[in-house]
Amino acid sequence: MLIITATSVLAQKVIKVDSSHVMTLRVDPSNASGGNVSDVFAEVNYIPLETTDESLFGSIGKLEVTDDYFIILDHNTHCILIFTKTGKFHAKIKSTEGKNMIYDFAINKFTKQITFSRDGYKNMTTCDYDGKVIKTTKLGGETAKDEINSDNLIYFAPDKAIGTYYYNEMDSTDKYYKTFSKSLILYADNKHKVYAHGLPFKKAESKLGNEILYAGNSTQNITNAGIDTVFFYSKAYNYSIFTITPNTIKYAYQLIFPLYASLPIDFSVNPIYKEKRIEYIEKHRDAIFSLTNVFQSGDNLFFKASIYGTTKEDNLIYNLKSGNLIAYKHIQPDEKSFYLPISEDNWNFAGMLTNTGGYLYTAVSSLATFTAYEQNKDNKDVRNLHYNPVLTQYFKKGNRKDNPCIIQLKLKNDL
Amino acid sequence: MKIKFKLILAFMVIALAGNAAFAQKKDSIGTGAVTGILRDSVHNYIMQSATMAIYKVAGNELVNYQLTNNFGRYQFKQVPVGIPLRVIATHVGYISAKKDFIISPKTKTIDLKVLNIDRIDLSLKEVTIAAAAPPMQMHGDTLEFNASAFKLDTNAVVEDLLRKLPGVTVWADGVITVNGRKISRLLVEGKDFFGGDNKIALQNIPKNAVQKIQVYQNRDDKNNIAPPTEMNIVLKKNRKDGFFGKFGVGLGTQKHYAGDGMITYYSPKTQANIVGAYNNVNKSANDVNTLMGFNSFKGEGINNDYHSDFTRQGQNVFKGGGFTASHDFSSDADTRPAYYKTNLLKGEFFLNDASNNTIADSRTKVSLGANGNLDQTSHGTSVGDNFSDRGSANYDKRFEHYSISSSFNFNDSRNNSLNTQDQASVNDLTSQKTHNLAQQTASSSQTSAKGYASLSTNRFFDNGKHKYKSLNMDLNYAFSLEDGTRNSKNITDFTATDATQNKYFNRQYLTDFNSNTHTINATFRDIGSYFRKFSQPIITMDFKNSLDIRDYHEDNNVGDLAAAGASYTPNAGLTNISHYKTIDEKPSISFNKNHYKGLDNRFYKSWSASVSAQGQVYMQRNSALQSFQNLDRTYHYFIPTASFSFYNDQYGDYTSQYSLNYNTTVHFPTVSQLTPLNDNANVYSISLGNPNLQPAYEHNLNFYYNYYQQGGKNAINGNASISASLVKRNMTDSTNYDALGRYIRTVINLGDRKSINYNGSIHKSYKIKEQQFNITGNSGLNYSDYLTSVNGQTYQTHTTGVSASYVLLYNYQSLWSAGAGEYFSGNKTNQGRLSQSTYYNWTTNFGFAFAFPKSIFFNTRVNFNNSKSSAVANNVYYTIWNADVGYRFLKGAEAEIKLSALDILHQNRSIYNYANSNSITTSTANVLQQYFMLTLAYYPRKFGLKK
Repeated sequence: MLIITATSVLAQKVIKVDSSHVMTLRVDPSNASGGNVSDVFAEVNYIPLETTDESLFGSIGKLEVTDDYFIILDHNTHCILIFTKTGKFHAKIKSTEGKNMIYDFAINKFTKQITFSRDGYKNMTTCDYDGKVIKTTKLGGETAKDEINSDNLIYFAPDKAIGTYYYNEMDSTDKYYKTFSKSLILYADNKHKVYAHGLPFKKAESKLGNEILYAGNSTQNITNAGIDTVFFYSKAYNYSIFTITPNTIKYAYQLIFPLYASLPIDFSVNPIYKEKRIEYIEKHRDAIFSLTNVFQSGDNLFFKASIYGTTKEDNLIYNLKSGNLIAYKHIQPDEKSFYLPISEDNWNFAGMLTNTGGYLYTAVSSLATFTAYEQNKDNKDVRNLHYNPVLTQYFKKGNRKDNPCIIQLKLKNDL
Repeated sequence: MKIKFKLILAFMVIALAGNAAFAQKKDSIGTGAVTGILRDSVHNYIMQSATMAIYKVAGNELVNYQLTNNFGRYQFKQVPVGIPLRVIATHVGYISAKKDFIISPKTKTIDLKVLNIDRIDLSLKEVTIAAAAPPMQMHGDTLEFNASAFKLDTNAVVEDLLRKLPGVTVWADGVITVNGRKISRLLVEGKDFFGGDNKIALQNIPKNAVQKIQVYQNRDDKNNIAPPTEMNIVLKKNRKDGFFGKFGVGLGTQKHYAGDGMITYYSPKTQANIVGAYNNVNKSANDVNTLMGFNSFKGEGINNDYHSDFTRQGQNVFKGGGFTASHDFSSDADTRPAYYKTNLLKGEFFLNDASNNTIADSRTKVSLGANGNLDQTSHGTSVGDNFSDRGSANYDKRFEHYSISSSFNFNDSRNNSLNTQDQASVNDLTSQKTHNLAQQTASSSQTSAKGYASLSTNRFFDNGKHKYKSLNMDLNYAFSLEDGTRNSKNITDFTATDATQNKYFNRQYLTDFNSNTHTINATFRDIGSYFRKFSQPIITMDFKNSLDIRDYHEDNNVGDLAAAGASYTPNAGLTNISHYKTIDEKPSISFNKNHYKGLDNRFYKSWSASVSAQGQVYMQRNSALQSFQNLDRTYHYFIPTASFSFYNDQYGDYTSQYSLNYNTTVHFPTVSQLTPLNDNANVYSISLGNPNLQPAYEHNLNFYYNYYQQGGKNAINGNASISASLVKRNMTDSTNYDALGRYIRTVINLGDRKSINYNGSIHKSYKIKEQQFNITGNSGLNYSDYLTSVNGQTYQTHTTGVSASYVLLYNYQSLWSAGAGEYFSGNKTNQGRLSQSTYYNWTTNFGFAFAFPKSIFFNTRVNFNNSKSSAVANNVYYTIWNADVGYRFLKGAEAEIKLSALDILHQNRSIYNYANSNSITTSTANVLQQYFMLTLAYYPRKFGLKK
């Protein structure tokens, strides 16, 4: 038994971080510009999600887009909902009543499966896109040395996925210590066995796991870069972005923000901030404490730079060629978006949810779309607006309490 | 939680931005329309929620203002045409932009197209660019109104300013609502202003001392699902301290006089005031704050409070005064309050001397069934004087997760009175008559001291250490000590048709008493939280214990003076020493279940249910010289409670709240019900004890409903409550009348008492330009059904009370106001076949007032009263009409001369109806009537002591 463990440990490959080509991006959110929807986007499509008693949900906590479906996690109803690409309700996977909820899921586009746990990670359940259970796999548990008991995995091959681990203080004598416990990035097979890992954190950072503040709904620190085998990972509290591929980890971008919007450079390692980091952020309401939801579309880098205070300059588009910076929430609806909002001015608005097939995806609530619809009726400039058939039907039959609308966006390349 | 704040705020802004503009002033030529878009063209985006304000170029008068909508657009209607106007755009972080224009009288519209606004260089972030402050702006999550943008009379006070603000309503009772949402606290510089009575800040602080008014949601209470909305008055930098006050004297006809004085000081740390009043026109108060309210400056508006209380009986002279002081030891410079930074010491002292001289007549009808009816009349005079002084000190200190609170107060009072009463009773069946002449000289004095200390702690999650800390606990201790004497000499002369029943007493009562009470309450909430790490509990459990120990000692020396005697002979039957002790112990365990359901951007609902098993051990021990009063009883009861509540917030639509509570209480018999000493000098009424009296057990069920509309300028809100109670083994009177109309009263357990009670109220306000209508309606109903016993017969008794009222108030600017209201209250008691009595009071009032700024004000109010009682044959009608005309002068209108005419029609009467199961009484008394008074007042006011 010992020998087997030893071999599996030995078999784990450690991937070194390549820091040879770090690109420094200077970003001043307060100088981000706006523009009209048609200036920024080549394509905008609203996809209202069908509302029935069965399909009613709160907001999109996680969105995966496959060839045929939108797969959604809702933290209000603790369900995974599957809608067709036209927004028609297809299937639903519920949490088990009285047990642990579904907190996350992973999809394997190669095998067309959804994997999640609804019993506190004792078992992983695998469903097909119709929501039918294919199998339930028992995990080795928290003490299995080489196993990752998480459903936040992104598959880049039918049997290979990338995942993340958290900052921790465990040492090798700890009961829950795993062979990859000191790395932030891990590579696992479809049985959740980790076969490689990388991006180690420093000892001084080991306490951070308890001190990370999440910036609202659908915060993702690992995202699909738009190509199936390239991912972005953003490190807590230091504005660095890594690109992860099946075999490499590259320190790709270092963002620099103006002083007023920055955390101290040594915020994640200096012991004077120990156990005071969240308090610091609550007091310094203009400081960017979280850099997440990083996506790339052509030459544009999209990311969410969250502050504790109120701002419209949190979701940003940075053009890597021109250096132009656009604040997503300042982009003004126009005829291209039927004068409907592409963002919402509340904490719930997730920003970009995913990036697939050349499109970015976000969502807005029906409260926002119907409020705009009513305002459009009163606005003589847009009174003769012709909504497309989908929206005409939606406004005719729906109301402000309907399910959210997914918005499919294609960024222009030359911004 | 944050999500909700933002949403609520968003609706607040939508309600304000919307398509409506809030016209500052309607202009006769105000028929033009202005539209445009505001942009930051450097950064290429439109500006949302920026403030657009239109001014007349000549005179810089504010015409209209609004926030830009989601498209950066503004649309003004009813703007004057043909004159030069200026639109000024402002937004936090931007340099104000302006544009001058004239609306052509022909087209009557102008499109200003795009107006650009530039950002302030961030390195100069805190530098304010000199420009007129916008009337209203969003500053992060706070809606701010800048006082300087609102042109009001120089003597205007905060109340006058609030009336100008869109969506803000100041109700007659001082409650403020913003878009229908009640302001839970009004703060000045982040602190309560003199005890938190809104009117003191609203009616004294001049508008010119105010920099801005902030409206925001208080996020401190993170557990509160409906975070309270607060309003904070930020004073100008050089107005952070000051004083204000009043000195007034009035002389009137009928030897009436009134004088008052107040001086109040405030600074960022300290608030202090001293206040006094002396009058014989029924203007009295029991505390410093009430007197402060009477001495408010008010502003350009109407001064129609602080009138004589015409309902009080007798002639009254009031002398009173006191002072309060508070000091805040916290070193928080932030004007927005931080709940956990409280560190406040407060003290109050109040002294009053009230004398009363009443002549009262009453008529009572007593139904004795087969034994006929008694017709009783009584004529009484009383002269009394009450003196009291009292003081209190409170200290509160709050930390983020702990709080301590303590208070101490003392009270010292002395009363003297001389009462005479001439009573006569006739039985309509037997024609037997009785007559009693009673005279009482009494004096009493009493000192008491009370204290309270409490400690509260909260269990909280330490983000740094990533674990829960501390306990959920409340501990408090309270004591109360009392010591006093009551002395009286009573002469009773009773004569009857049957002369053998004649009685005469000259009796002296000397009583010393003292008592002490100690109460300890402890609550430990969510016991399970100490044993679990992160998971949410299905059911939480609380432990509570309440212990109350009371000791009462009384020493009675009673003596009789024979008709020709020289000294009082001790009365062996009434002289007594008693020692009464009770211990009330109530442990309980409660189980709570909370559940919530929300759909983002749709609704938030929460339910909570709680069931508590509570036991009660009540020990009663009395040892007395009159040994038949000795008593040693212990009762054990199970007194469960249960509650259920439901909260429903439909975003952007409405919020409602329902609650249902059940509780049980035990009413224990007292010594005076069980084994009273029987004083035969009470010739008409003799109390006989009932040692077998059992405790009564009460079940209570209460339902409460509250609703308010979100958003909208003219929101509606209301509430209703219904409660029902069932008392098992109800303690009720058993009375036995003799032919002379004398009765023996015993308390017995007889059947169940069922009662039901309803109360409801509804508020709605309309604001149209400078005009505001407030409508308030109230209604109430109570019904009870119980058994009574008269002369050995048991009667089913029903009592019904109904009340209803509405008040309509109208204000135009702060200059004109009018009000109308109607109040009805009625009562009907039906005792089986024995008796039936009804009475009602119906009052209709109209009022009207106007004021010219800085000069003359006038107000008048008429009350039509209609009273009917089944004890008397006819309705009683009377009308009270009051009017004041006054003139304010000097530069800051600090001086006032006022002529008041009160009860102009000379009709005021005091009528008091009272019914119990088989009798109804109507009494009248001498009251304050018509007088005219000339008052001179000076209001010293200075805001900003350091120049």
